[in-house]
Amino acid sequence: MSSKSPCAAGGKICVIIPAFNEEAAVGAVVRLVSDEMPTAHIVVVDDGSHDRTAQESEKAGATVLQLPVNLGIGGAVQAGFRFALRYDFDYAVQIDGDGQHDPAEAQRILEPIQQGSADIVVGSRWLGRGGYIAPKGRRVGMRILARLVSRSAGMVVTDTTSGFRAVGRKGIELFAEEYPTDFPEVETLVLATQRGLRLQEVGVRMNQRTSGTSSIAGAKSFYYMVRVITVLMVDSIGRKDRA
Amino acid sequence: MKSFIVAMVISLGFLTLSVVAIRRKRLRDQTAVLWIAVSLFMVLCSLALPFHLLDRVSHGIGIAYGSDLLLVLAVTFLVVLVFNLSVNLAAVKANQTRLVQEVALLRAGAPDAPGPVQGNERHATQRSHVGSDESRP
Repeated sequence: MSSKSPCAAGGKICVIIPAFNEEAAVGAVVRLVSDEMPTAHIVVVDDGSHDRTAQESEKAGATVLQLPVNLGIGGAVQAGFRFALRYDFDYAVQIDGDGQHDPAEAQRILEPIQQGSADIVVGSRWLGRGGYIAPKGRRVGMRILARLVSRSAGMVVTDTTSGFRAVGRKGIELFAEEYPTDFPEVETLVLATQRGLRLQEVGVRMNQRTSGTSSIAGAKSFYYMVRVITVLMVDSIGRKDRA
Repeated sequence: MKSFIVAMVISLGFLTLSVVAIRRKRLRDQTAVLWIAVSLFMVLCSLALPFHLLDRVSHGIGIAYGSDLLLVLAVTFLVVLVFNLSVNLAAVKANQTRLVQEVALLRAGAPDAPGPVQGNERHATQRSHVGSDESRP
């Protein structure tokens, strides 16, 4: 349980860190975040981990939402948004629990929202500020996805699979109620822009992951692309409610 | 005559199965009615066998064999049934997600108040893992 006050001038910030079996990295991520954003309230969503993810997070001072079963990244992140909505946070920042995102950059992706120029901001690893090199095959897939989402969003989106993002009150309300579970990173961008939220990208550095492996790798990647394209097509047919 | 007996045994057996399932509360409400109706339909079809009723009906609607008529009916029924189950499953999954999230929120309590469950107890819960479904590159 964090002892820090979430209240700060300019609104309450909730940092949502989804983590699945990240005992090695999550403690350090929480500490880095609380160093960078001392007024933010940190919530680690332990997505049914088999290891000490929850204990390590709590030791580092985070509030832990411990899901009794594994819901997948979408359901886990949504739990964080539901927390943010319930306790009236004004801003929510989503940072991966594996150390891939640099909490020093969190303030940068939050800024456009605090200034009122965007409703959802995504930290893109492709906008300047380099440092991250994706494997070649993955780069092609990422580019195809970017093209698809850009078309649907009506603007240029470079990094559709980044889980480093920030939203304001509008985004918290939308995502607490409705959060895609199949390909959450990609689909939330489509959903948010469809609902009239203003999307913006900000260049960030991303580290190579410090532990764990990407859930999508190798031959699975092709299958991933086929599925994600199908899901995007289904999304574009439209749906009213998918909780 | 042989086919009549076999059909009757199967359909009466299924009727018994449905009734037993309802008595043991394994089937409820709508589904109970559905399966009773299905088993009664099977019984009727079996009873109709000696009178070649099925063949007459299928000739009437332009299908050459009674067995083909049954096949069409069966496939249609099963497709609709599976579709319905698929829709129901999605609803159950959505509810389950909501509940799991709610459990976590309740356990954690308010941001600056101690949660209702403290310390190590919180981590000692039993877990059943239903398919890890982390989709992110």
